[in-house]
Amino acid sequence: MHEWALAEAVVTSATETARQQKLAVVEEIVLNIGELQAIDNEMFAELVQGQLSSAAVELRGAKVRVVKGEAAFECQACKKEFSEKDTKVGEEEREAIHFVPEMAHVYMRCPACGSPDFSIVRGRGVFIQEISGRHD
Amino acid sequence: MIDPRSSVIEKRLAGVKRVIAVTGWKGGIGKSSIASVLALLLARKGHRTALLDLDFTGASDHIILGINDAHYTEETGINPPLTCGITFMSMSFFSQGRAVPLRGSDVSQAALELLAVTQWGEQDFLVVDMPPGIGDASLDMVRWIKRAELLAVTTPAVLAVETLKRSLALFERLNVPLLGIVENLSAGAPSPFSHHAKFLGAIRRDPDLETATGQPEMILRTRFAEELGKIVATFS
Repeated sequence: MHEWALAEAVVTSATETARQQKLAVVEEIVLNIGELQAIDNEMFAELVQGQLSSAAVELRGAKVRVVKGEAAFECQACKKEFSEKDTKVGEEEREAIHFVPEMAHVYMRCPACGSPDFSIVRGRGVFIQEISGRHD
Repeated sequence: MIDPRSSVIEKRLAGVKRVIAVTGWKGGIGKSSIASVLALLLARKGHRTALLDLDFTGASDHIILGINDAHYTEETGINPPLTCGITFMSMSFFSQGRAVPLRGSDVSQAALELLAVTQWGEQDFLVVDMPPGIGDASLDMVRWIKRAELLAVTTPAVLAVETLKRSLALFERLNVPLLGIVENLSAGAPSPFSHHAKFLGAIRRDPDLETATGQPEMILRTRFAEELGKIVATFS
């Protein structure tokens, strides 16, 4: 599953951030997972948690919490704002978007004017929203 | 919010010895043909070779190489298929032959996604068919893959030559290493870049390349492949 690779990116980036912030112990990592990526949040949190067990010592006890990022789009042509629910996307197309969220531009259309020229305002991918811990 | 993906790119490329970014700053100069046939030639020389088509809006490497039924697999990321002796990754696997209408920043986002999740394994060469021009995606690519060596493609046309001169100066300021300059679609006259220290050679216009499109064995028998092969021998 390609989520493993994204989880590795999260752990690598969290390690770099903890060191930049000189955190001795990381207590919690909050992830924001965009709806468009269609990842099972619970499964992804477990993947990250599993990889943290063999990460740098300051991250090993960190708890992982996931916040769902709802997807929102804005049409460049007619300025209509819309959500994923407003569009019709098949299973096969959804899988392509799952791997590369920008494929939304291939398969989704503005529900008002039909244009594929829209911007993904939010909810496209996996982000580290917050890292908290102690400096001692 | 921190985007974690760029932090893992070096890990993904850890088993890759050299990254060659085939780039051209004008359309229609044969960048994708050179990237595809370069990968083919390196593979036929016995090098473990991968090809990444990052020209998302005009992806054509799969058409040049006749890759129709190959598909990636999933394990700890996306494993690109080995086809024509090349480990190949392209947005065409996800777009199902449809147009990919991406703005510049979206091209960057999609490229970053592929770089973060693609497991290349051990490779002697990764050839990257770069996004055209000097927009967001090209600038991001050379920032993300600092050891990429640019193979700059031009033609004898004045507009292509002038654009190349300006672009080379820009990438020199960005400290991007230049592997060399290749003149494509040559009419046989001396190249305006023939005295450039990094000029690797010229490839004459070859109508047989069009006929051979989609047939790797036939491509390898063209004059285009023969002349590109001489250039490849200078750095492989």
